Amino acid sequence: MIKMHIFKNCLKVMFRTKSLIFWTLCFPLILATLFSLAFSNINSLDQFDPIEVGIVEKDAFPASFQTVIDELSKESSDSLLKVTSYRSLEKAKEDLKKGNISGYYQSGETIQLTVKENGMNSTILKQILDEYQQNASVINHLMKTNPTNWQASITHLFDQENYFADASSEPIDYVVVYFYSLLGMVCLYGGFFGIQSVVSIEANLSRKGARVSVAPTNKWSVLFPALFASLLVLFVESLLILAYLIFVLKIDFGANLALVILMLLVGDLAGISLGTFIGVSNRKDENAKTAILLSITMSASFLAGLMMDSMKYLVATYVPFLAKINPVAMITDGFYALSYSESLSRYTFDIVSLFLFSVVMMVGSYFFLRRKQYDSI
Amino acid sequence: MTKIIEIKNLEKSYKQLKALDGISFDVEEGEIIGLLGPNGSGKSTTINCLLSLLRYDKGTIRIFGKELKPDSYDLKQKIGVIFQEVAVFDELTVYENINYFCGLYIKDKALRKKYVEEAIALVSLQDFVKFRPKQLSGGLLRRLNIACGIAHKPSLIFLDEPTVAVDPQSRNSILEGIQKLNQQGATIVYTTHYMEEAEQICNRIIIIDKGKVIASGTKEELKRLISMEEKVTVEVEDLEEKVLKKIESNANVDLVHYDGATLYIAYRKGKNNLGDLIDLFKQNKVKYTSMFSEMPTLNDVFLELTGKALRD
Repeated sequence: MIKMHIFKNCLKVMFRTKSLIFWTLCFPLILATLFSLAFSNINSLDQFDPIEVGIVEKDAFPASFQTVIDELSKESSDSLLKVTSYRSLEKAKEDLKKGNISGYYQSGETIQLTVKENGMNSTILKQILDEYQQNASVINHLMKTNPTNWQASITHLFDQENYFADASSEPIDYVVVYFYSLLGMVCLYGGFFGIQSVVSIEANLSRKGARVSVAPTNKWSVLFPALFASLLVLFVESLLILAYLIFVLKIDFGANLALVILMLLVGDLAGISLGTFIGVSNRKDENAKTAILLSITMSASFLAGLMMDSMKYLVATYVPFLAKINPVAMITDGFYALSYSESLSRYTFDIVSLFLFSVVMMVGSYFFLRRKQYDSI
Repeated sequence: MTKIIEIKNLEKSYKQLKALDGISFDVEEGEIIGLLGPNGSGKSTTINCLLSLLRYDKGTIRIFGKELKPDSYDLKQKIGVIFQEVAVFDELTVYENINYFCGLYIKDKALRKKYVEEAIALVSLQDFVKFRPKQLSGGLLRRLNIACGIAHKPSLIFLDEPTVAVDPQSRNSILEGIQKLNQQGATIVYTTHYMEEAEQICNRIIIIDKGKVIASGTKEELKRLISMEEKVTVEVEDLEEKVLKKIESNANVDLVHYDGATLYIAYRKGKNNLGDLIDLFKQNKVKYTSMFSEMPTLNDVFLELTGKALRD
């Protein structure tokens, strides 16, 4: 009974808190609209420009590497590379300096890649070389055991989509990463609700909290309905944003909308749990807690590709651990998996990870919230 | 009389600062007890320790004969608290705020509605029930703050400086409300640094300074603690030095202060102090514009006991 009383009043408070509604609903809608305007001329993989790459003295390379390069530069709408062969290293260096090519391979004891600067193209060229070197023995084995059709197997090994996603069934639209990350950010903004709920029950954070502390009620019996109300409000907002993305901005979320919504729900839970944990785990004031949440949210969104789509790929490649514990990355990856993967295993992994993240945050919050008296208020 | 609160040797330090230094006092059922002291004297810390919000270092506290712990819900049900800062939701209306906080104590919806309406009537907020806190003046906001703390009809009420920054009209309304609550049976612990309020509504006053109880009793008992019995103030210009000397030579005079326009004289116990002063002025042909006599106030008590004024 008392929980319902608190739940109803918390709903009223949240729906009437304009700043909260702005940051968790209006701001993402504005950001999504700006993304849509900014990316309106950027097309998907169909118009992906092949990477200009040089090969110095091609004949000196192992046949298997030459075959890989040939396969990846075959003239087609989805060719990954555009190869220029050089007889001399100086000419390749000159073209690299002028920016005519993104990098060049040269043979030696091992194949070497020279690039001008770091970037997406450089990363892909490096990835091709790394994967070739890792798969060299497999390729040699294929050449020996399947001499008639080994090129097709190589092609599969170096499928362009491997550089961006797992076995895909649809053409990849890299722009959607921004929108997926945006939804991830919205979920994590649930942390604002979590912090606000904690502030209203802790005597050292607010006088309202002191009122709750002197009342004959357990703190959890006040916090739990408040968090449940938060989840409901945030979930409704998330659905509104999703509807805007799908029906107005025409962003593709794949065919399984129910699973997209489930991911949003678990993502919202993760955001609220994170905010609750930040709220109870330190003795900073509300502003400091909000700043901590904002820092975490923006960093997590950046690493998940909100500001730069290649970041998601870079983190997944070079710091996979970070991608595994980043809730925004889990949400983004889950949406991605739903859109571009036929299997649900990756989605399932993401959503279970996200749920576990929420459980860890809530269990941690429970232990901090057991503190019942304060040294100062 | 039943003792509602018993505090013995309460000590609390914030790092190097000793906020409470062995505070002891009792509160009996039906009393309005005033905790009087300047800002920072330890009044709010005492209340927060009493409410089990703050950990304390030493001492014992018993409320309704029991130790109050954070999960003593049966005791907490009987307690109402009005904090110094207004603690309400800006997003809820006056009615919704009182209803929300009352709901933390009263589960029955019909009973809660009745209690909320009675609390609104007690603080005279009937015309503002649909207002949001930001639409209320400072005084009305304070009244809302009080209603939120007492709507569940507690038998022990703590009011921590409820009239700070309140206009005189609202202050009177608040003080009348507190007296009504007391008449309805509630025991009141009232902290303030306004001596007039303590004098007006409290049956007994405990004066606190630097975390210690320096005196306690009824206002009459407290005033008897000091030697001054009468204060005389005279508006007079060009008072000659010889007249001042004659005033000071009066055996009943405790203190004389003259700033060129106003003369203050503190008298010890004695009869006809004012008449003697008028006679002296006549004899010396001193012309004055006004003269009045006052009884000592609690501020004088505090001044004599601590060497400083209450509002210093």
